[in-house]
Amino acid sequence: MIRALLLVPAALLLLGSSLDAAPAQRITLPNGLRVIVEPNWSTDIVAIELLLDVSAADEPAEKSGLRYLVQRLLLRGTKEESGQSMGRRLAAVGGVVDATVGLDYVEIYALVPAEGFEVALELLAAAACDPAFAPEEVRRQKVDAQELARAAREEPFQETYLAFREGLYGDHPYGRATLGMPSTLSSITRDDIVSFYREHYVARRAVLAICGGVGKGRVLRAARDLFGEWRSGAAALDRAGAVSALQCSVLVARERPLRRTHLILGFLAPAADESEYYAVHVLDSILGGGAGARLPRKLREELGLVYHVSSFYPTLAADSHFGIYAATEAEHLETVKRALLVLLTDLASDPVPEEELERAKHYLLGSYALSHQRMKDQAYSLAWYETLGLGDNFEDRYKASVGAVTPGQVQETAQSLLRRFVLAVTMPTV
Amino acid sequence: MSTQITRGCRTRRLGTARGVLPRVALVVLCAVGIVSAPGEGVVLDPRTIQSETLHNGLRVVVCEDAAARVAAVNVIVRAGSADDPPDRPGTAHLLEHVLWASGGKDDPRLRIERVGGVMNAGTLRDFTRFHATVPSRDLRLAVEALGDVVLRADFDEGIVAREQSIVLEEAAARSDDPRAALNDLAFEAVYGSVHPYGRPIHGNLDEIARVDPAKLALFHSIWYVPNNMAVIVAGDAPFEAVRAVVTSVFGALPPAAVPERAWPTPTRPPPGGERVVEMPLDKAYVMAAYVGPSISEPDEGCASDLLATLLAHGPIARLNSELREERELAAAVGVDFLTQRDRALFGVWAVCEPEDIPAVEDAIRAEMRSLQTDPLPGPEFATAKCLLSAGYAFANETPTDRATTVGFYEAIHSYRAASYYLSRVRALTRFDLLRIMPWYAGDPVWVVLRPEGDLR
Repeated sequence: MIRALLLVPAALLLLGSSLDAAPAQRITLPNGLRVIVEPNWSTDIVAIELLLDVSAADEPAEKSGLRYLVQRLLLRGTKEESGQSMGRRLAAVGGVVDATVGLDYVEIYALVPAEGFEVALELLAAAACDPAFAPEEVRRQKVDAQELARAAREEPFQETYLAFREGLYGDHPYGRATLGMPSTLSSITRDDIVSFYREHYVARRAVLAICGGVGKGRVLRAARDLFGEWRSGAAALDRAGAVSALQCSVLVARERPLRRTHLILGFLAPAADESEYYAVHVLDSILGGGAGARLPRKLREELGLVYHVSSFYPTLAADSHFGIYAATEAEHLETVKRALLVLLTDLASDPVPEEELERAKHYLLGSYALSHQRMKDQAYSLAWYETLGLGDNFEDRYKASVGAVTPGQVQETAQSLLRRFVLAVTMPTV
Repeated sequence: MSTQITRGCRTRRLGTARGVLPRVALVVLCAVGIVSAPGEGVVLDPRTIQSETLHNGLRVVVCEDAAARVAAVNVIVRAGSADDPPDRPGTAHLLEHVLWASGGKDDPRLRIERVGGVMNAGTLRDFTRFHATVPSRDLRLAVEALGDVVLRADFDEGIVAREQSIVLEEAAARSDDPRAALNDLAFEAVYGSVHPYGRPIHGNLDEIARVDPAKLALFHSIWYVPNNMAVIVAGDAPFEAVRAVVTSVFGALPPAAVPERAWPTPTRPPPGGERVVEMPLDKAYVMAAYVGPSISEPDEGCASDLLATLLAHGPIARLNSELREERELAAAVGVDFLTQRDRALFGVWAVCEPEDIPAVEDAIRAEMRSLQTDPLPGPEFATAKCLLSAGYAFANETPTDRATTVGFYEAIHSYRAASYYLSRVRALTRFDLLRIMPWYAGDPVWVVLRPEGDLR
């Protein structure tokens, strides 16, 4: 019986991966760039992911959004070619490219039909290694970035999530808006951009992951040609610093012209691969994973209070966070908050029934597999787990560790998480 | 194609294993589809798709991919909000909610989740779909669970009341999203009360409250009949196996006559004029709304997808260069166009400062006019075709994507359209584009969301 239970999650590992996928191969170029290739002959699509270990902690608080601005400018032209011409050349082979920022990293990625692979990689290499930062583009992108930073704050989830992180992290870089604020963005000069780029955009901080319908030889040849000359630079330092524990529970409330009240209630939670990391994932799935999870069952189906409720636990290099997000009518805010706290207290006081635990684990592993079906997602995961130093068998470890979580561990984890919470609320302007 | 109305509670905002990052989504336009390489590749190769009509009229379509290891199952009912009783808008959508969320002792959703699968449902104007993706060996379990959801015949009053309030929450959340609100308003403005596409999918407060369990049961008995439904499976599932399990779940249902649809053809060009609504916003949202082709006009539809690409997709996007980069008038531009059973909305939109509304409207008008008359440069045309083809491939990467696309076409016409889409794109010439332009000549209906208290 026990054996049967253990076998099921193992079988789920297969879900989503294709029979045509070859194991990933890793090499490091002489300049320190790590290259990971995972060919997959069931598809014509190639995903290229260039992820750099450049975190929110690398930008000064008063220049927050600097990384975002640099990322936008990478795609706006090199010393030899305008951004428009680069974009047109990529589009002519059906490719798309984008550059984004996370709390812990910056990334540029491209998606392209296999026959355009070399064109896409060449453009991506040029963007990363040889950007022009033309003054006119800097001006234009500053205007655009301020606009987008403003617009992001009109989106109720983003606004509430930022308030939540501010309450949770205080002055720690995770408490800042990844896109920056209009005020910090406007103070950034071209010199700031150029010197930030020179210091941080170097081969030793980068991982290049490529998944899809190209072979290893073709990828490695192109990677050596195009990235071999990239400045080596210095590896990233551990600079995020410790997150201070909350001294008390915190309420952060804001008003916006909305019809619904949006709230996030949550806690500090372990960084990637810490001892309770897997138990928090299971707890996340018990509460918010799927229609059978406790949050939708209680808040949506029993109380009928919300249309949307979900929980999240991002994988971060430093102390992460676990949060529950819901949108409801203003008059139900107190009821929803109380219901959430009761659900959380239950997890801390009573062990989860075995059957419910199994559903949660299966859901977690199934959705992990389903969310890694796309070449883009696979390339991202390979690059990100490599950057976190979690090595090449993280996926197997994740699955085995999730399978091994016990009801007792879930309960202990709930007890250690739940001591102090942050409640962030964005409510309709009265 | 991607604008499904799915319920949010199962869409987790942040992936389990991903960082939280504001990502700019890869924009795959309205274009339904997939493609493979711009050269020779095939997406949804007709040789990999088999179909059959069971004796009771139920359609079964299978896109087999032995390498996939998962099976994605869609149950399609060819009844959407356009089939709502005129005095009860929102019925189809509420029914989908009630069927999906009724649960019960052996909740089908839990059965799916216990094997690591996912399940969801959505209502569009033309059809309703219920779908699940599971490890392929659980194909039977998935079809049975979806069958239990779709064929449920008892509607609990308490659950109906609860789902009514949840639908209203959903509608409120949608109205907090200006892009969704703009699209809803455009449908209303273009189709009015004459054509059923003009009614909101969610219905509204008063109307939803008047839909009782008996009304739901009636709608269910009329439309949820096998000859009005299809089961689509994509993934590691041989046709024979799918047919056997679908027959065991749905084969005993008796067919029944489905009402004829007597919709007036949407007029082209649309009635003109302007619809302005004030909302608590920072920016203005402007849309030039036209009536585009239907699925029965596939070449025109394909040319319209290409037009949408030229206007708003990627580095060649004309509106992007004109409105954003050169004149810095707009914060965002785009085109809403989703092929439908009947003639569909083609909406060219921009987000701008309220004082720039006239300039933005002029720029959109000028761009549409220049496409009517000026020959398109060859390279620009070739690039647009390439982007459209590759976008179709990117949008159909997984079995779940492919079941969605095939189900979409089977719902509004025939699954075959999914396979032919790419060859239609490849066959497009600049002449086809010129030929489609009269659809978008003349004055559109202007639909505008303005910040409150900001008078022109």
